[in-house]
This record gives sequence, C-alpha cells and structure tokens, in this order.
Amino acid sequence: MTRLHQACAAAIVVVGAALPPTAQQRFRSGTVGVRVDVLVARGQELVRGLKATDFELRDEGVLQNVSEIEVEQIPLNLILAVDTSGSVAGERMRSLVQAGQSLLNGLRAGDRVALLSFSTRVRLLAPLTPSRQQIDGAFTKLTAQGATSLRDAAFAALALRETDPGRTLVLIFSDGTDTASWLRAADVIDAAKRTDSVVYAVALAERRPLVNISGGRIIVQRDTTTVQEAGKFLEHLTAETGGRVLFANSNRDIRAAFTETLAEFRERYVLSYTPAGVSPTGWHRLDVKLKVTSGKVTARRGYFAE
Amino acid sequence: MRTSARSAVGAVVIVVVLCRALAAAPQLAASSYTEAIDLYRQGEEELALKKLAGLRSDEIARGRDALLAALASKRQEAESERAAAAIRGAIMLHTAQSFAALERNNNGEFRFQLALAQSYIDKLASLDRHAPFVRTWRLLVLAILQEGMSLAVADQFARHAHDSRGDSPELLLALGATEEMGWWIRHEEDADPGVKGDLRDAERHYRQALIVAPTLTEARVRLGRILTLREDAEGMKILGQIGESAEAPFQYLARLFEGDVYEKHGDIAEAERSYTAAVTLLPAAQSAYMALAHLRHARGARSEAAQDIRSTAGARDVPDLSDPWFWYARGTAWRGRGYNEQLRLMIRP
Repeated sequence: MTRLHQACAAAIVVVGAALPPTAQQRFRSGTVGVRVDVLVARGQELVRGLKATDFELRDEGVLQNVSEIEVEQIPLNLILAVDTSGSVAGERMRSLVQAGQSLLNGLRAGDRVALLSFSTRVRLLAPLTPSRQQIDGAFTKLTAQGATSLRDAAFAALALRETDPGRTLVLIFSDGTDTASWLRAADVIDAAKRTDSVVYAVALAERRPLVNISGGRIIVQRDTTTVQEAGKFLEHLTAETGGRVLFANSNRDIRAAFTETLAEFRERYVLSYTPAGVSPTGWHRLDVKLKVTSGKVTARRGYFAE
Repeated sequence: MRTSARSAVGAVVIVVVLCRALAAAPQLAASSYTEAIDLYRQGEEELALKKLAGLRSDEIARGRDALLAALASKRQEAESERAAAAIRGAIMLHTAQSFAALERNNNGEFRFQLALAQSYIDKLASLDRHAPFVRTWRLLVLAILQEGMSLAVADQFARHAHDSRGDSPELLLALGATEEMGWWIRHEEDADPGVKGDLRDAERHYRQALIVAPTLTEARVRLGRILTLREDAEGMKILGQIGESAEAPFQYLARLFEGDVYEKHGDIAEAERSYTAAVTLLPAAQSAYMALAHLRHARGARSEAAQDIRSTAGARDVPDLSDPWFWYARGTAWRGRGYNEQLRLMIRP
C-alpha cells in the first residue's frame, strides 16, 4: 500500500493538511486516497441529498469502503479553454465573452480560474488565479482568427492542473473540428485518464460547405455540420472524466450552457476511498452505482495508478 | 482574273477582319470587365475585386467571349498576345474573387468565379500545357485547397492537372501531400477526408519528385514521415539525413517526427531528446512543446509538463503561423504565397 501511496497518479490526490477539517474528518485522517467526482441524475433532474452509504463503488471490480467529502469544503479550480478561431468572430465572440464573464459571477471566495484560448496556437491568457479582475481583463482582449487547435488546448488545460487539494473543472468551448493540433485524440484521452479533472464541453454547431468536382466543374453539394466531428472527440474526452458535452444551438445558448455547467459541477458528489484489494499500479476501472435509489450515475471511467 | 478576284476577296476579308479587330479592341479596353482585369494586373486588387463584384454575370460572359475570340485570332498575333495577357489577369482576378467568396461561405459565388478561371485556364492549357502560368496557377489552387482542407476537390483538381508525360516535382509533391493529408484525417482524426488517403500513392509521388529534384528537402521529409507512419525502418533513416544543412523548419519537423516514432516504440529518453532538439531549433513553434509536455505528463512529470505548457502557451508576441507543423499538416499551402507572387509578376502589364 505504501508504494501505491507514494506513486499514485493524479487521480489519487494527496488529501492532508491542505483540506479543511470537515473534509479531513470524512477521510481516514492523514491518508492518501482516490477521489471520484460523481453526478447523479434522474431524467433531467439532478438527485441531491445522497450520502456515501447510498453509493456502491468498485475499483477493478473490488467493492471499496467509500466516504463522501462535502463539495462546499473544496476550492474549485476552473480552467477555461475557449475557441477563438476565425469562425467565432463577431456576434459569437460577444456571446462567448458575456458567457465567460457571467461564469465568473458564479465563483466563490477561494476559487481560482485560468483562461486559455485556442485558435492556430494555444495561448495561456491567465494562469490559475483567484483574481476575477485578471480574468475579466483577459476576456475583453479575446480576438477571433485562425484555425482550431482543440486537442492541444484540451491537453494544455489538463496539464495545467497541478497537485493541489482543489477540484478541477476543465470547461472547453468550441464551435468546430480540430484543424491545427499536433496531439492525437488518443494522446489527450490518455492524459485525461491520468488526471482527476472533470472535463465539460460546450459545443456549438458550425455549418460549412462541402465542395466537390463533378464533370470538371466545382460544385457545392450541401452544407455539413462539423460539430458532429468535434463532438465525437469531446464526448469521448468528457465521458472519460465523468463530465459531459452540452450542445448549444445558437450563440445565445452559450451563456446558459456555461452557467449550467458550473451549477451542475457544484451539485456533484465527491467520494473518496483508500484502495483495498487492488493492484498498486496500472489502469483501474471504476464502477459507481447507487445501492437503492434510482438514478443515472456519471463518474470517471477509471484512473491510472503509477 | 482569278488572281485579282482572289486579291479583292482577300482585301475585303482583311478589311473586315481589321474592322472587327479595331472594333473589338476598343470594346475590350472600354468594358468594365476589362477595366477590372487591368486594375488587377496593375496591383489595384481591392478596386478590381470591387469592380468585378459590381458586374452582372451577362456582362462578364460577354467580356469573356470577347477575350476568347481575340485569343483565337490567328491573323492578329499582337491582339492574340494582348488577349492572352488579359486572360491571365482575368484568371487571377476570378481566382481571388472565388476564394474570397469561399471564405465568406458564399458558395454560389465561389463556384461561379472558380469555374470562370478554370475555363480560361483550360483554354490556355490547350495552347500550351506546360506554360509556366498554367502550371503555377494549378499549384496555387492546389495550395489554397489544401490550406482549406478541401481534399476531395484538391484530389480531383490534381488529377485534372496531372500530365501522363511527366509532372513537375511541385505537382508531385502536392499529389503526395493530398494523399498524406487524407490518410492523416481518416486514421488519426477519425473523419472522412473525402479522398482515399493512400500512403503508398504518397510514397510513389514523393519518390518521383525526388528523382526529378533530388534537392527538394520537403519531399524527403515527407517521404521519411510517411514511411514511419507505415512503420518502415527506412523512414527513420531518411529523417536522420535531414541535418544542419537543411533549413530550420525541415530540421524541426524531422526531429518532431523522430520523437513521435521513439515515443510510439516506448523509447521515452530518445523521444524526449528529439522533441527537445526540435524545441531548441524553433522555440516559438508549439507542436514540439506539446509533444514534450505530453510525454512528460504521461511519465508522471506533471510539474515539468505544466511548465512546458506555460512556456509555450504563455509566450507573448509569438506569431500564430510560426509552427512548421501547422504548415506541414496543410500540404503545400505554405507555398501558396510564393506561387501567388510569381503569378502576379506574370500578369503585370
């Protein structure tokens, strides 16, 4: 067990003196454990008021003894990665800035925010900071042009999360497919498995012409919605971390989607346990269920112990 | 008698032709269409595009017919040459208008304008297939289509441009790049590129390009890359030959691709060395930093990975287009500006 404690992945978080006393009491004191962010919904409604005893958590099929940490006790790290490619210019950018600023209003004391933008390059506009003013200022400087390096940005957002006791929400906004990244989808999914960040995404449909040649003439066949391709990657990434993709149909929906994401993240349960009866290394598949209550449980699919 | 009659008829014909030519010449010079072309040729591109945008399609069609008729003139060599020069200008004007329309998602305009340019080019190609203007224009259109990732169009366009008697190394490079891009999108991005994306075809084109132009470093880098994607050991050998004598962007790409191979094979130390070499070569480029950060993140060096991200993403005043990988992934797009400049020189009055 000691080896596990010393060499665990980011999914296994050091929970010691940095946690508020209430949270520590819910853990075995001064130990290292696995923390799992869990969302429970019944239909469109979130299920609230559950206790650790309502959950059944299996690590590699082995039933674990879980505790619950009060979400309120853990500071939030919000890492925002927003698409600023050419297609976002104009009204969409204005909606995005408003949505971002509105999101800042939902943060609490002790929460920190980082802002990344991505187009042809990924740019870190503000590192994790408690200063709303800094982020607000960065938002107002956003400009839209260039290609879309979605996968590189998603990885950058995941990699910026360092070991601290906070819960990390990565929120990605994009309106198109990747056209500039070096990293492959599998690379980013792999990185997601090695962190405890929960990734949410807000994807907006973008229509582009599909051009072809027929009889020596160039013709535009029809419009195609590229969000489906971006959606495949984002759905895979978010599902891996226990988050989800919210599809916005118009610019006006971005703000509501951002607000909903933060509200939903705050309604999640944080379960913790000290792994027992499992290998100290490698990929650990997680299964989280409700014992009695009905509802759909969404949680990360597993974690790496290294 | 017969001779005099013949002379008389001949004289009448000459007079008629001359009259037509004289009548046609002022018409060409005076029409708004030819004015737009002249403006473009003189470098007044915005004005020219604005003027063209103000023309009705029937005015353009009449102007085009007049130009083509003048080009076909067998008796007036000077007029034919003037018409050919105007046609080259018209091709560039319509091409610029076409791609500007595509950027605005105006599909009808894009189609109309490019079809016009294409009809002119076909006419010029029927007179001289190897004319530098015809060859360079096709390369330019391919570069722009590859930049926009319109691979299905690029593929068919390239097939149309293909010459069974031998292609230029630049066209072979473009043909190979279309296949390579298609393969990448299909296999690594899980999307349908609209083309087959055959690395064997890409290999064939790159090897042919290198036979014609052995110093074409880009073909060598691309050949090395696709061989590594096919897990052919020759790929690393070729990439290893891209040394200090090559331009920095090609060296950068070679080290980046080598790192990718080492990483795939689990040789983390060598991969890190290759990525670091790429970062050292071009610190403003982002792809090698991303590769390095990912490698470090995967081996548990989270702080180093986060620092790599902060270094590259936090760098200020770095131009967006400073990464060779960005251009590599767009086939021959980076050559587009050069082709455009060559063509603009060719159409100057």
